[in-house]
Amino acid sequence: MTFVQGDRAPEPADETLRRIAAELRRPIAFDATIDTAALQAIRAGRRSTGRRGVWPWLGAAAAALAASILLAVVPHRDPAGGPPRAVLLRLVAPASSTVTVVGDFNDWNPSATPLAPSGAGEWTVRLRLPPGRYRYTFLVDGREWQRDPTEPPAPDDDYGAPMSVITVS
Amino acid sequence: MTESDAALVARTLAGDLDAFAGLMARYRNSLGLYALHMLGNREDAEEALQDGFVRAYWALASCREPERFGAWLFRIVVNRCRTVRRRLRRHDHLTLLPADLPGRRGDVSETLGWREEIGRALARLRPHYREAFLLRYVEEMEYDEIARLTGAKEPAVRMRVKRASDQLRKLLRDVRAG
Amino acid sequence: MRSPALLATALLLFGPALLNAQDRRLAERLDPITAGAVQHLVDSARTARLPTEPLVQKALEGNTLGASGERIRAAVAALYGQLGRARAALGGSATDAEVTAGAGAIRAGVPADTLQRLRTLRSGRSLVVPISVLTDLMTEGTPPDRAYRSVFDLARDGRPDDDFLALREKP
Repeated sequence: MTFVQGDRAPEPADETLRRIAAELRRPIAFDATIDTAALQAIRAGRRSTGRRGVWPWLGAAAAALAASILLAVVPHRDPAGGPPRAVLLRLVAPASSTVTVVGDFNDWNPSATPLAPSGAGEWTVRLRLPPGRYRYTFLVDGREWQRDPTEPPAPDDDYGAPMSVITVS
Repeated sequence: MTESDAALVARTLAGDLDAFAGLMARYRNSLGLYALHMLGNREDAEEALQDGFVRAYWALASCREPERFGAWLFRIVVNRCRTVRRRLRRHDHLTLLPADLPGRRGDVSETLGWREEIGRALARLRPHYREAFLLRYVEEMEYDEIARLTGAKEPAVRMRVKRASDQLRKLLRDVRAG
Repeated sequence: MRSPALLATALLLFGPALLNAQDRRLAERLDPITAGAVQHLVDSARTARLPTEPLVQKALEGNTLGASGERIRAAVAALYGQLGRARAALGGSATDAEVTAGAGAIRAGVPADTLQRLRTLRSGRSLVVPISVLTDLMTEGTPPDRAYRSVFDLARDGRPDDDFLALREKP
């Protein structure tokens, strides 16, 4: 497929690369459900622009007061953050039998978020997190803390355990 | 007679969502192919693709050359792939499952082996190298086009394509193809 | 129709009682002295318009990692100070996420006036990602001047979050 007017890019010089390119160019079909889902999102977006307030009788000041008190009581992530985003956490730990993750996103609960083996000694878990910054670490076989080598180390080390930080944008 | 991209864009801007559906159907497979090779698995590719479609819809008024809608949409999907990749932090050691690869009847075992090997090798490239290689040899773009699309300078693009090619060649030299 | 003023009055009357309720998680997982001390800091943070959840999470982290009550109290108190300095640097309109990210930056050695400068350069847009990237660069050993310059340049040019994240990637 080319979008360029004019000369096509030349073929790779050698046989191996030509075969690779040819294989990669072979078409595949993607499901129309992708289009359907995109249309749903678009329609939802079209509906929400121009929507009136749910309680038109509640003055703006009273609503803001209620919201600020409620938000102060209930533990919350920053409401201005945005919708949750998919995040993949992974650890290569071939000789292990269990791996879990603890962090700011699960109240540091060692049994809340297990990783699953995904082959070749790798463990993964897919999370949905609102935008923000999260400290976390892995617990391997219930006894050893290991930080995520693919993310920056956490700058603070209050408790002596290896720690990583992920930024979700 | 099929409508041109420009005509479908115009109808979409006039409020006709069916026209946008037509545009998505037209480009879904080709853009999905790039996303799949770039991200290494179908789930992430579909996310990038769907996200790209939605963004394209809302930004459609800024598509200055509707007759080149495909190239404009492709740029959006390339960026979505970068965002999805960063967020999901797909690095090396990505394994393409056979289900993610193009299906073909015939000598499945040997062909599948070759395809899997390509997928594995591709996944081991640095993302910038993989992107440059795909844009050059799969999307068949010129270097200056790739430079404009990615924001990198042309010499850097050439270097990335060369490094990607060298690494792929080395990784795949000993694999027999079907 | 109920009067909005009646609702607002009810909230004003009962709000303070709700605010002083202890976070259930602290009571369940920490010893009573540590739970009380952390709750006190949480209440103070709320009054000072600082984010409270990072304080709770810092306490729970210590609990999971087996830290003593004394160590947990010290860590939460230190974080409280960092949040306060971040709020002072970033201003009253900064979001919880920005203040939290700012606290992490201060902990990593980023001066408060650097955060202030960033606010000025990128006013009206979220600072969470720029501050986070700056913190990561510093933690990974990038010379501070280089880290500040890279982030300031992008902020001055109005670049999107993705461009800041790309600073962490190798070429």
